[in-house]
Amino acid sequence: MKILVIEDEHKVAEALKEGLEHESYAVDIAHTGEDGFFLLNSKQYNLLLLDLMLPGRDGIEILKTIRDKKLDIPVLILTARDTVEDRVLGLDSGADDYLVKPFAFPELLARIRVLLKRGKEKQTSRLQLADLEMDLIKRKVKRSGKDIALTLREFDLLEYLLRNQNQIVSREMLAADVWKETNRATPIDNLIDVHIARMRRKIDDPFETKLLHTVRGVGFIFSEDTP
Amino acid sequence: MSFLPKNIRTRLTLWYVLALTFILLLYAGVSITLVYINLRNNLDDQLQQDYEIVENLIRIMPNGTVHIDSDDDPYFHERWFQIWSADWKLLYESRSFTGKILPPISKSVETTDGFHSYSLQLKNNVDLRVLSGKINIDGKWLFIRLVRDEESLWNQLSNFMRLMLIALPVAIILAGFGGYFLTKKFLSPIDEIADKARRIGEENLKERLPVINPDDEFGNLARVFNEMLERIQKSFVRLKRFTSDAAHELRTPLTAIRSIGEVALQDYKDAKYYREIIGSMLEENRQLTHLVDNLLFLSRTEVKNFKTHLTKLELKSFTQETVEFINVLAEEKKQTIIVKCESEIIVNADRTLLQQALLNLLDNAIKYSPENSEILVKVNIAEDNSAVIEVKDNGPGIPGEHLVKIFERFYRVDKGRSREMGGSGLGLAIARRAITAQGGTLTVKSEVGVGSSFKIIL
Repeated sequence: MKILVIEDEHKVAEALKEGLEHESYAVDIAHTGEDGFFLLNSKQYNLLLLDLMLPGRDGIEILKTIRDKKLDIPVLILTARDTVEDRVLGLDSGADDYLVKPFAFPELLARIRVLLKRGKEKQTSRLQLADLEMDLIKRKVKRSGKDIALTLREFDLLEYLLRNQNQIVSREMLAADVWKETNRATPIDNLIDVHIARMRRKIDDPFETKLLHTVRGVGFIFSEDTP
Repeated sequence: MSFLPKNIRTRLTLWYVLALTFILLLYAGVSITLVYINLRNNLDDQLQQDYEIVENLIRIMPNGTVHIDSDDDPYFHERWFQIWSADWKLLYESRSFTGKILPPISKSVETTDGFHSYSLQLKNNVDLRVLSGKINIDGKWLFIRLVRDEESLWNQLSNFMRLMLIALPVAIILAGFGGYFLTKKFLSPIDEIADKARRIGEENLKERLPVINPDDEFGNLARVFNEMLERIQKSFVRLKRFTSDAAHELRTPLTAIRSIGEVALQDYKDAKYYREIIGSMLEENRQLTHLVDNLLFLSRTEVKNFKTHLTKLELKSFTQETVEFINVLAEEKKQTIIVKCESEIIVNADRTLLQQALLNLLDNAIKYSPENSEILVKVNIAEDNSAVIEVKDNGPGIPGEHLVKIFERFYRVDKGRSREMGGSGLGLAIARRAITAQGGTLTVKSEVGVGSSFKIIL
């Protein structure tokens, strides 16, 4: 899977390249709109990460040219501008998704997976990690055969963690996907932390192997291995 | 109006002179007419006297001819008159008529009863005033027609007009100059105000425009401008304080990131140690991000044309949902949040903004109330028909001197404690903006040692 990153900020571009290569993507970087457009025309890419504020031709212009030329490549916009109008402009110009800077890297990975159809949620009735099982139809959770009672919110949270197992999930992702809270000025970090702590008490504390781990400064990971 | 001069002084003078000219012309016209009428009336009076004299001079001879007793009248030779018979024949004409031929008497007008006076112009431009009347002498009807030259009338009138023609322009020119200098005098405060205003800038906003006479229009203008300067100055001060406050707030996490990083690089440690360090730096980064997000929210909602998305919202279930959302934080402190709402209340509100405000209020109430206490959320309709959500806690209360300032950005009652609890000092500012942006108000009442009560009024 090849990804093109058009981003003028060198440090950010390098960090993206390194992070994405760690996830086994092949990454090319362009620092200007012109370079990016040249690369797009000369090579095949599976995804474009596009910064909107670029020197010379800006991101929206590039996006429009791509869509005018009928290039069928998924585009994920990265931008510091996050008003509703900015989002609408970006999506109207032909972007597939929109991520506001500063973003959490795990969230970027999650969005990329969705765009590349890798992370498409399987239609399933059961989710499982190690000896933890979730029955989505009966809405029941068992660990080592023992029933665990969860509140509605805890169930949603655990389902999300199971679906994204072995991947870091950030608090922003939980806020948006489990709590449906998209307003960035409403910080619910402490709320999430309390829920995670309660979840731990129910699914981890009575058992030998811990599944829910905190990755300090980044978020959480639901995995058998300690990170 | 490009043909008008640009400066107000000239323009005022011009208008003034135009108005004055118009009025004087009107005045001249009226007075000339009045003088003319007056002179003509005098002439008619003289003719009337003539008539009475001539009337008594007429004798009818036994043969039917007319005889005039000219000896009885010392001015007889100066009089012009004709005597006509009832069948339109000229019976007598005074000598002065020599060389002047009057048109025959008008049958339709002059022969009716009473007196008739009119003006007449002969072919050689001689203007005459005529008076005619019907009279019965010894049973015989006659017409007497008296004439006087209008020359002296017209002479007097043209003298009067000449006088006007000279006097009017002189008056107008004098008035124009006078007006020009008076306008200059009256408009001088404007120059002073403009002069001062030009010199007031960002660095001397404290200065004010001169108020020369506080009761006149210019004084009023200067005063209004001064009030505006006052407001601008205040908002400048607020802005400056905000900028420095924001910089200070940003400094705290920046300092932490820097110190953590520098200390970590002092020694060579294992990977686990560095992971911790980086994690801790990222936590500080989160703080910074939140701060910037909050500031962006405030600046965005403070724009005048900020768009809210008002929808019909049922307050009872909305409040219950919001409390449910945050309740876990209260549970951690063994606090109970009680929602009291008698009936369903429908309001027009922006759900996201309202929830944000209520969450911030609840978050504060939970943070500042002791363990095992109660927080009351009351939803009801006030007497003036507005919907009220009240959040009442049993916290320490807010002292009066802080109460007016708690909605200001970065204002904290207890600086150290608030930061320790993860507060950015923006929660209440955001709550108030979220409410005022949709036309509501957020008020606070508090008693030290008893608790605080915040009211969202929609």
